[in-house]
Amino acid sequence: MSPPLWDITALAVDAAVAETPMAARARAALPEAAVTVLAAGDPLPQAPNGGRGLHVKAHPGRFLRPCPATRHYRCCGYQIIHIGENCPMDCSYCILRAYFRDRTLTAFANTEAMFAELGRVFGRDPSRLFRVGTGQFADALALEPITGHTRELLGFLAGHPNVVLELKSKTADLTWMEADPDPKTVLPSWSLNAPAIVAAQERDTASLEARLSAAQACVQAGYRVCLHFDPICWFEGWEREYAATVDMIFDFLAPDDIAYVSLGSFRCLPELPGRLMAEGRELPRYMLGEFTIGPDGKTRLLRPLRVRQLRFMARRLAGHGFSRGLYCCMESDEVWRAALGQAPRELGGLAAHLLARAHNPGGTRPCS
Amino acid sequence: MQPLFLHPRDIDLSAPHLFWGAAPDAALTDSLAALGQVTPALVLETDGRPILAAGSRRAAALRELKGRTLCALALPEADPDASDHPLAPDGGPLSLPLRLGLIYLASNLGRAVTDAMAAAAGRYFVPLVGVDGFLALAGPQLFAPDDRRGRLVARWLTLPPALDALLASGHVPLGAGERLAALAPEDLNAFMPLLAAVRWSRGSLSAALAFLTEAARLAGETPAATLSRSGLLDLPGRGLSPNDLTAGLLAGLRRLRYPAVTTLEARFTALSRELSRGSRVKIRPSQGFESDSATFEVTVKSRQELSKAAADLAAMAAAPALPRLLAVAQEDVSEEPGEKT
Ligand code: SF4
Repeated sequence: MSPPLWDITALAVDAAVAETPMAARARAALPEAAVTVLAAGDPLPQAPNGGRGLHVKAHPGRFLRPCPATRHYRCCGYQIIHIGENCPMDCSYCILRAYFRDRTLTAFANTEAMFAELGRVFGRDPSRLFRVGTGQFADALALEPITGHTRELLGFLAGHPNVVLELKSKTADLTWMEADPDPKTVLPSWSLNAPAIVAAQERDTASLEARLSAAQACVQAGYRVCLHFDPICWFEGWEREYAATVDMIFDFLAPDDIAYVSLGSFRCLPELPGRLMAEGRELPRYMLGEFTIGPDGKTRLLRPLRVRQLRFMARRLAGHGFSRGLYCCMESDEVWRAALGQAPRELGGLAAHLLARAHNPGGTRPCS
Repeated sequence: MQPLFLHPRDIDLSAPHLFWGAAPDAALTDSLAALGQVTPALVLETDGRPILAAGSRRAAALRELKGRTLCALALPEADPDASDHPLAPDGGPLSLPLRLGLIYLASNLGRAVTDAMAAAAGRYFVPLVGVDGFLALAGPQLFAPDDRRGRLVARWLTLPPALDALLASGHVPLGAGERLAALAPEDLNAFMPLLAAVRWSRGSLSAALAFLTEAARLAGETPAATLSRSGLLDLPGRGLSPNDLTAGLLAGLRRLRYPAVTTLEARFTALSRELSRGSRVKIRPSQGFESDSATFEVTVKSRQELSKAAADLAAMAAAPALPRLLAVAQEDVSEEPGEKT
């Protein structure tokens, strides 16, 4: 018998969403899981055999949220659709560690309410363009084979061509393609990292080759893709390692296949290293860099070192013919200029620039 | 109990159960000389041979006074009421070494127990009954019920006994035991000269060891190797004041751990000194050097002081050092991670 998907041995479904298609899909995808229907106030059952639980429930609040930015750094204007919480993969740098203490995964099954909210926002002015993603507190596609969330969402978004949906993941899952969306409205995207970081710090994620093969399959199906180098870690030999990943990209993709690439140096809440150690893990070496606390209260690598990382990545990507769609994630104008030679203002503002790249293969603003 | 009168030279004063034994001071010797021995010592007779159980300082002082004997009360070798007081870990009667240790502790009851004294007691008891047995048997005599020192002493006892002298001399605090215990023996050995060189607080020692071990990890070498190439082992021999030595060691270890940050700080400090020479304006960098900006700060108490500060600031605005100061974080300070400093 093959091990349960993502080690999920318990499926708890709130009675309020027990009859939804998502709950039915989850039951079908997890035939061995212990299924419980929870009345309001019932505690979550313990997952048997040391596995983890998936809680299918309704989300009571807003679904569409702006990406958490701060006024100190340049934000990319991304908006996120809240589809669930927690992730079955385990990256040592993951911010979710700060939010969730247990392994329970949550998926929001009240998609009718979600579509009602999104329809109000996206339908108000069809000429207004949106660039959205899923999973502020989750990987966009990790649970897709179980919940079919993205397939449902893509079906809804077919009526809103002004919205481009970015699907950011560290899996190689392409089951969302079954929804057969217009390739111009979806940007499958992958987080990439140095091979050593993927091997040692990203547990249960797809290999770099698998991610890039999936990206290549998307391109062959007519999609453009996005890539994210975030976090870029500072460790002995980082230049060689990141160069290897950049070079590998172009074994699978051509520069024009890529809508944009983000670069973000490792940053974290100051308490993250302590949390890792409290889990009994040794602190990864990249967390022992020369950090300072930035004005947003986050731990960041000292600015000249970050510039060196970002500049290195930009030059390596440029060496393969990719430079126009490059941006820095949560960086100041000083870092932008030093690393990329221009500030977001000179691109017409980062949010507008990326919106244009997302909606238009040429990367210029489409006429409306 | 009949008192015994023993020649003090016939008594073993270096027996391990006399773990708090110390040389007598002049006051005790003078008192014994003038008033004689007012409190008897305690001995345990085994095979007709008396073993001193309490009173080692008196015995040592009496050795210095010609013709004086030590007055001692002899306790029976085995406690006849032992079954009523099963203190031994296995519930049986106490072994002789345990009994001697506990009598010694009991005879010192009421004395303020320093960290070093508690550690010395631990060194005696732990080989006999283990750490838990030590804390159970001797803990109530050593520590107040809500005193966390028992746990700290237990941690300290995992360190080599050579460190006890530094605890006693106040160079190393008891609370640093956990940090020190995390070092490999050869790394601890390498750090010993610095441990003995200054009086460390728990916080400063903890910071120093964190800098060292993290720098070593980044360099892919042992803390001992990092330390030996750092030049810091020479610092204690340079005749610095204790405060300057502590500050110098901490700064040196921090430089090992944060070469780029400290380079940037040093550059900023040099430029701000150059810029503000002769004025009372203080210059601070942006938080974490994140932006190309600086804060200029001056406190004034009068119109004249404000005028002077304004003139100073105007001069700074025209100084060639200003653009360099503002752009200090644009200069490259990087070294390969792990590169030797
Ligand atoms: S894949 Fe993403 S969401 Fe999941 S643990 Fe890694 S960083 Fe976190």
